[in-house]
Amino acid sequence: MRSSASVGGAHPLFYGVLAGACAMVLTPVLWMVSTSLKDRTELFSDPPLLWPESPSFAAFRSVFTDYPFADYITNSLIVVLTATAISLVFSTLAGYGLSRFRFSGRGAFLGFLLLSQMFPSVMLVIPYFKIMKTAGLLDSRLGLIVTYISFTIPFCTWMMYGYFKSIPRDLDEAASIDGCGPARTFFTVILPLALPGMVATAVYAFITGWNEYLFALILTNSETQKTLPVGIGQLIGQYKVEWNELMAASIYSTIPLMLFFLFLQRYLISSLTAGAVKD
Amino acid sequence: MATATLDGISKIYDNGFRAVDELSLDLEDGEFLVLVGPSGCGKSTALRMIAGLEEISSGELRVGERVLNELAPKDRDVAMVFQNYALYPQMTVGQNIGFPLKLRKVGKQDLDDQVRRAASILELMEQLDKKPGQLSGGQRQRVAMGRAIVRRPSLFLMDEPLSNLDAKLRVQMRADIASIQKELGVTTFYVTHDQVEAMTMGHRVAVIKDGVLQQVAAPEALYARPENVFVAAFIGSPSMNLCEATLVRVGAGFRLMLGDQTLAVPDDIVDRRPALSTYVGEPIVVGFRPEHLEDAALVPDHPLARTLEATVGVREALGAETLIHFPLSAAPVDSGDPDALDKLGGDETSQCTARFGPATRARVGDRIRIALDTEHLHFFDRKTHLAV
Repeated sequence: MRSSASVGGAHPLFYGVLAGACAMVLTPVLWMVSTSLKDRTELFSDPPLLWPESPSFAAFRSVFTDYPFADYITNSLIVVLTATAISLVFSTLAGYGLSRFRFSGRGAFLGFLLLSQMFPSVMLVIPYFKIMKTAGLLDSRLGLIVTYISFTIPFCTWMMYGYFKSIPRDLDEAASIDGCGPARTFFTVILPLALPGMVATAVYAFITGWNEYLFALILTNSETQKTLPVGIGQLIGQYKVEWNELMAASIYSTIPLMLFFLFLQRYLISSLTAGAVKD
Repeated sequence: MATATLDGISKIYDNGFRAVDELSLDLEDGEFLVLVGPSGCGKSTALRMIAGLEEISSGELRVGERVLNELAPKDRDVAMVFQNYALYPQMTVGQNIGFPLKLRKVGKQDLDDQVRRAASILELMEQLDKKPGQLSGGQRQRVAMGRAIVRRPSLFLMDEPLSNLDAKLRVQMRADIASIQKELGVTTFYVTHDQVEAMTMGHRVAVIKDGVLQQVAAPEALYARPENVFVAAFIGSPSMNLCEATLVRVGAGFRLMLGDQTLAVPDDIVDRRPALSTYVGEPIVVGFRPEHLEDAALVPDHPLARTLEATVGVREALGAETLIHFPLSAAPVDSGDPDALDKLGGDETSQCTARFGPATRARVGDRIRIALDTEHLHFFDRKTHLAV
């Protein structure tokens, strides 16, 4: 997002507030990094050390050697990327249809999509377990993919519906007069303009899936099918917590998110339709 | 390039509302026809039905020999310029203009040539590589024009293309569009609510109200011989003064009773309008344009019997002319234009406008005599509002 305010001549208080906000966001990250580099004695030293005296990357290695973390990461990537892609395709098509065509039951359908978001996931976890068991999808990545897209598609459809509504219909009409059929209008004229909306939708779907813990915990049990949040959760043992390994695993878990954001943030601009119609 | 025929075209919505009611128009090859009317009169709906963006409820639409009713917009061979430009923001100016050709699989070299030709007509050569977001409003509207003219369609459709431009640019673009249309000779259907655009651009002007066609005629004819009260009031600016009056026979001639005033009218007024004889002694709607009124002090040889006496209510000095608004004690007439300012000053007083020469000394509150050019009176039936 662009800021139109001039930053150069801002009030000192402005920087004070910014510094405070940054500290609030970054301190836990700093603590996560610091803890991941400590050894077992430093972890429990009193007073706690802000930074280890002899930083060690042992925890970063051990999560891979002592636990099947490579599997967890692979599972997470497969499940979440697939679910995100499927959600994006369906929500984009559905959003376009809902925004452009009038058909009976349209309003009810939109309401139904929103209604499906109202139930707490704890209430749904048992029914999902029974459904997946019947379908033979328990303890499988496919089962998780199906579960995640069932959560993300309704909301993503709303996001895309809202975004398509902000793209002037005149463009569809101009394209149809210029010689486009409905499919061509969608793919060559409207879809390129919907890119920021699709990116925002993909980010939402990705984060939702990537951080999901409860359903992954219930619907999988073999080590080869578990996702990263479940794997990290297992590091909290009954008698001891390997804090340095836990934090190292958490860092591994944030890296894909950061890469995903870095890659997509340049599309997260709001002004793709500038100049299309008189504002 | 082709003729276009609208044969009793109607748009009826599900709730029974008739947005366009039995509209019939014939456009000659190369003609510039302007459809004008107040907001919400159905003129844009009519245009959108021709474009194929709205379904035609009944009637037949033909361009040349082809019936277009059931064709998709892309197969109608019409080009449209939208009120708010509707440019493709992700494409450059050149790509925008070339888009219709690209869809028709025109070769690259040929496409480039045609885009350049269109751009040079519209003075957009410098802008070809820019995106629409970097252009001014006038330039954007020209790109929209370019996208339409590059195709050489059989019909141009323009939906209030100038209404988003500022006043000065509008005058310029008005002339530009008219000259481009003349050069290309493409039959053009132009929709506007601005009667000045209609009068200056159209070969013929069609006035529409509440979805019903009121009159189609050349601009001069529309101005000189409006067929009903609505057209009379809608065409011309400031609009025609309309009030109720009574025509009475006095000896061999006639007098017009306007409220408490008496106006001498030409003796042959009834001879020229035979139908008027049946209205003698009956209330009738009389119309006179502001430009046919003058400060009597500026025309000393104007007969006193053909003047009205009035008190100046509002005075607007525009430089080349001075507009004087004055009340007249005669029952006002509602022309039915929803956009018109409420000129009705009560049951028995009409608010009239006069267009005086700049030399007038009339000031607010002055009691003045107004010379009326009685050769240019218009008469309408009080009930049907049709011209007599």
